[in-house]
Amino acid sequence: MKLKEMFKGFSLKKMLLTILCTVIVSVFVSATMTFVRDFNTYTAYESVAGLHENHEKFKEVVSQYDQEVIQGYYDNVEQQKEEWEKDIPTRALTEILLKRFESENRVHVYVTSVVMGVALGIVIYVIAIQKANIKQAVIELLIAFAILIAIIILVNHIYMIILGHFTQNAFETIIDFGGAELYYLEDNTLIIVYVVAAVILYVGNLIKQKMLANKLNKELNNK
Amino acid sequence: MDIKVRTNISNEYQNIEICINAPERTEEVQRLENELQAKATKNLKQIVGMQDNDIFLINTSDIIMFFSEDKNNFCKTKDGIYKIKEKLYYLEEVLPIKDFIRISNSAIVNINHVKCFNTSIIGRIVVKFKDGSEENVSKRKTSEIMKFLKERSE
Repeated sequence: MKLKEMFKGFSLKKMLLTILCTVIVSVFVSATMTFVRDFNTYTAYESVAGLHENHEKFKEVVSQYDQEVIQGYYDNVEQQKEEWEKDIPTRALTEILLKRFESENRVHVYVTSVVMGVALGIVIYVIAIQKANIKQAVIELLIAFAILIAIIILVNHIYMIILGHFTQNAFETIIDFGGAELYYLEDNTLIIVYVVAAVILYVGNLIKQKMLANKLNKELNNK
Repeated sequence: MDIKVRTNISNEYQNIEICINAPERTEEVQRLENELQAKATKNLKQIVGMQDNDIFLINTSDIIMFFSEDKNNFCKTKDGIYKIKEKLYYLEEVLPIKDFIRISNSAIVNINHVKCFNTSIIGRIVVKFKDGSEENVSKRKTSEIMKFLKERSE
């Protein structure tokens, strides 16, 4: 009974619906931001690839790229080789590291946007939709935060298991892939998002309701 | 007592007319007549309320609000709270439409007893009555309340 009273007005269905909406928006926003961020790089490579191979500009850009960018990658590769203390062909390792950087980037953007979406969904539901009282809101947000952290850890472990499974299938051996990234969203970032979203929503909602109350009062006194 | 309901549809009728035929005026006939009268005119003037086993006839104009709590319905006046038999959805049908408005799933208020609208600390709209009491307004009902107040002031 006490537990029921503590979560009075809470609707799991409504909260999941809110989370679904915020996750869709969050994934869309992060995909758009990533596209906008990388747009200059895309167009630069596309325009170079579009030049005739004998064009002077093409040769100039390619040689410049070769000197600056590739050299940079090779330096990283050499550093990695030293760390791993393995004699791996440099070009192959460059390719692997480039692909890994790409997949890392995609998974990180996706996981971050989903986690942000879920966090924002919970905050929006508790503060603006459920309109829980302060004590109830704090309890619900804390429980949700703990569940969220648990889900992130679980998702990371599932991802690691899948990664291990693929490694085993591909090489028929269990390989120590200690270098694989864990896609944690930093706890600090999550707390900041949580608190900022909660404060903005609380103040915004208060102002909105105050304006609505003023309109109602105006009509009430307008006899 | 068995009640038979018969409906006659014909061009010769100009309006909807309800006629009660009974051998004598019993309590049930009186109640039926009152309910139909109130529903037809939307002008329920009095309601029976109970307080500590005593029965009171209360003028609806004196009622600050009707509310439901733990599956029971009550009305509140400046003199106290009375238990009533009528459900809120029925009261919505029979109360004077210019005076009463539903503000949430569990409350109907008499606008003549409303002092102002305000916001609570959690950003919920509350209605403040002239007697100092307060009641939460459902978010879904705010547009209906606004429409009600606009129509009332016209």
